[in-house]
Amino acid sequence: MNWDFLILAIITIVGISTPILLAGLGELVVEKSGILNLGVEGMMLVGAISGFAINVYSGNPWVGVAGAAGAGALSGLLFGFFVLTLRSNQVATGLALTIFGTGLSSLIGLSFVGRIVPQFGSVFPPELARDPVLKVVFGYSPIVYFALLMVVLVAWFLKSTRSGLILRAVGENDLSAHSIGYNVIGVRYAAIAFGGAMAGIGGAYFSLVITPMWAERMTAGRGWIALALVVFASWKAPRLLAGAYFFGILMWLELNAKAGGLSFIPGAQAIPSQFWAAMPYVMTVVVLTLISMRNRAGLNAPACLGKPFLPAT
Amino acid sequence: MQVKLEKRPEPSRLMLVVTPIASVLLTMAIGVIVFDLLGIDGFRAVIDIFVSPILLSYKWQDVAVKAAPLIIIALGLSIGNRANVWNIGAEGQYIIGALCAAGIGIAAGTTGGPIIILMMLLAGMAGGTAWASVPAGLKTRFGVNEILSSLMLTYVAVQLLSYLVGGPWKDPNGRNFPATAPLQPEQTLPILIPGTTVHLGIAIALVLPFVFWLIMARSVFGYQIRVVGSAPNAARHGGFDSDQTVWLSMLIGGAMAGLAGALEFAGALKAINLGFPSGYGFTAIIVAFLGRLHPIGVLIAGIVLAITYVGGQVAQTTVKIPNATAGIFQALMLFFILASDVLVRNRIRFVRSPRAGSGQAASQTAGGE
Amino acid sequence: MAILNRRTLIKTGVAAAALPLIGSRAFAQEKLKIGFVFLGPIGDYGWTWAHNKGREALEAELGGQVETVYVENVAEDASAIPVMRDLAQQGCKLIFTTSYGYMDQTIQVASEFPDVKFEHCTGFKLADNVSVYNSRFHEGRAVLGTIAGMMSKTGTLGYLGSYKVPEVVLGVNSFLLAAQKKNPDAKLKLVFIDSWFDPPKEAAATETLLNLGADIVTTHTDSPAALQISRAARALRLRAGCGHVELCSECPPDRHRGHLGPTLHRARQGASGGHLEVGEHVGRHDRRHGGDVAVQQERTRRRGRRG
Repeated sequence: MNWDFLILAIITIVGISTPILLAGLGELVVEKSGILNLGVEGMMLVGAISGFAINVYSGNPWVGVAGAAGAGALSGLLFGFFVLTLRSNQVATGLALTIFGTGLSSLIGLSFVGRIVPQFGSVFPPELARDPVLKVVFGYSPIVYFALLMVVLVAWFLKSTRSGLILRAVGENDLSAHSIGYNVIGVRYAAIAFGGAMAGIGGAYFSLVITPMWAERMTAGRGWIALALVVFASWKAPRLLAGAYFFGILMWLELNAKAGGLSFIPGAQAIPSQFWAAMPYVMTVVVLTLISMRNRAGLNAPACLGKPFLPAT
Repeated sequence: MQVKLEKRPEPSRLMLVVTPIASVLLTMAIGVIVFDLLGIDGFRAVIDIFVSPILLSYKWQDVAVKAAPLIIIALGLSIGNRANVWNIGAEGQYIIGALCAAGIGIAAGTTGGPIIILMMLLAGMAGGTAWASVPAGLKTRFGVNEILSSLMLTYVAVQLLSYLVGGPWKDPNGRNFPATAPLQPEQTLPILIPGTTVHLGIAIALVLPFVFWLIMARSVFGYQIRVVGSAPNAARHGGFDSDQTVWLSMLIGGAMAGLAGALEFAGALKAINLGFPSGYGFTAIIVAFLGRLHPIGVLIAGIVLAITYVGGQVAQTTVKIPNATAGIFQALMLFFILASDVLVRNRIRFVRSPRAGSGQAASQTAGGE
Repeated sequence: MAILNRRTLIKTGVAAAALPLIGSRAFAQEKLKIGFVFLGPIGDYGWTWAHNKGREALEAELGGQVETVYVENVAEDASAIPVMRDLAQQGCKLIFTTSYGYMDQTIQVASEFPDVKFEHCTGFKLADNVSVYNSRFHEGRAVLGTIAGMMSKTGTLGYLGSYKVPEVVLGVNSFLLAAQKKNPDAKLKLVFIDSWFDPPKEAAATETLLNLGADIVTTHTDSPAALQISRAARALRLRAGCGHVELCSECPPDRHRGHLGPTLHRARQGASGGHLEVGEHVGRHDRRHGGDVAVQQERTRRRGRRG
């Protein structure tokens, strides 16, 4: 193992972690407001095809990403309309959104298979982005830096702003928040729209950055991993960053183990790949259990998560 | 004028029955419009999807085979949902159920017969129950959210299946393709109507809803489930243990999903490959809701969903619509049924608003007590 | 949850070369209805997409003489049986079942419809009205291996595999053996990602292969992810048998693409009312045209003579 190996490994891990980080950040805010949106996979697919299609027509990947965010937010708002305005069941509505998003993206995508789109340039000077060592810092797609920026912003928003406090209050106890005059429904609508936009950008990362193309169901279940990630991170933005990279490392380990890149670890190749693939989910259940056991305030799931908001008046 | 929703003291029985039918009809109507806009003969497409499987008698067996697992899983889930216990990991329990049945089949070698088949089904139920007992135990012991834990375990089950069929249980004569060896003919469920694919599991799916109906309507357990779900405080006063309710409803959900998996394996598929997790466990959630969590409703809803699957394939060849549209239809149906819940719980009133433009969403003014 | 997509590797080819067109007998005939059973969605940009291109080419070329129908997303289990049966009942006289996992189902349905001809892709079971067809992918892989062996500077080659199944192993072996003929020290880094289609994982796996010293990567998975990554990494790239015609306009001609010729040819035979010989059909690759069109040689062997 040498430095080159390490640098390239980091670049790979950051690449595969970014979409779940983006979608996870959005879902984190949604869940903090007390809503469980299981439609992440559907919103990601809608974002992936919208970003791609808009990029095809506009010729500008930035417009594509903005469109993906918009489309993701719209599909989020559809979910919001059902669970907030019509007060339908969140679990079932979220699943319906995933089925709907999968079908819709496939239908829209039929005419986009095989199209070529313009790609992002580097945000840094090429000599930095291509430098064999410095590229570990400067060599990523702009969306990667955007994701990192959003981690900081979301962490700051939830922790230090008044609006963030209100959002958490709504998620912890919607009835009290309502009774002291906060607009519970409005806050949740905003959170859901944000979550949809982030999932949309996460989806666009697949169709514009990792593999600039459209293929049906190309997110391949990453939306569900993003859901796991939020729980794994126990609803904290900095941990979400660490968790996303940790999940990325798990996948990198799996691939390296199989390619013989981990020969320095005895027995690494004997571990079935399914073990690595199941790890994020197993560890999420373990983390969920641990935080539920300790049950300290602020560590656990938002108290209203997944429950309908039924004010008395 | 303002639209006002007024909470009904009792959910409307009429609306409970009318809204699912209206949801299906509305989905069909929207389908006609959308397809026409897409340049496809919309009327024909909708007829092909929703009606042709009923009219073509040779399609009935396909509908029955598809409906059986959906009905059985949804029956189990509807118990939990009534008690406000959210097991969304039925897909995982279904997979584990099938794997346990497959384990018995492999262990039995070439021996078959009713005893082996019975053991396979029991093993399937036991496996599904065991997989569901994890979220149940975590919920009751540590307060772990069962929605999240049961969902996560589904993906663990998928990986376990992938490992088993690609590794230890791989068919030695299967040219290394990841799939189990096909069951011996004596190990598969008996075919009830000769010349068709209608196997024993379909009879079970037809009988179980009535069994569940009796249990829910007549037994103390049924009463307990209903009370815990609708009035948790009253339930506590009445001495119903909420932990016990969680356990029972999760385990029943798991057992039914496991049974469905075992039946699908031993009756319809006879071998397990990587495509086995086909989403029945998730679709069954739609079925449970479309059926209004009522056993007989679930029976009908399961058949309706199965019709859209079979009809979706028919429409692909007749009017050449992409397969993805079947998913859109299923999602629309679920959206409408969920939206119509608001009519079940509330009464719509048109009132003259003294202060125009209050700008509040209808739900903000909902509830009258 | 549902079954995802499928291997790349095959593009159902369009034999534009002027094979004898349909005889005058076709006039008097009814249209031949041809059914396709597809494993993935036609938008998978891989196996099913390529097969569908073949179906479209068939309609374009044979126009009024054939009518084609297809069903997407058909699982490789017993649920494929009613789909095939339905196609036969709708009047299809020729049905293509386009994946290995439909083998036993094809045999079963074929026995119920003796007057319908079935063509099963990549299988090995035959019946009076069931043929199998495949492409000699390993020949193309061997060509790639030869090129790789000659061009690689590090002597380390990367291979992105899907599942460890015969058709993939066949390609891996012929690639490496051919490479080692040119460079006896050539080594192969091989990753099976346990999926036919998972673009993000394919991309990560390709980066991993490059990171492990491979300067040539070839792939037997579904998406062009590997190609795009290796381009970005400025490594020499080779992509074996992918089905992405559109992308070829962008990609340099260092790619080899597989074509399944027999599909069209068999249909043509059927459409012309000709006798459909039952047996095994093997298409060959030919890169001569380098673009969308390739000419296939085809060999039809009688039943029972399979090797």
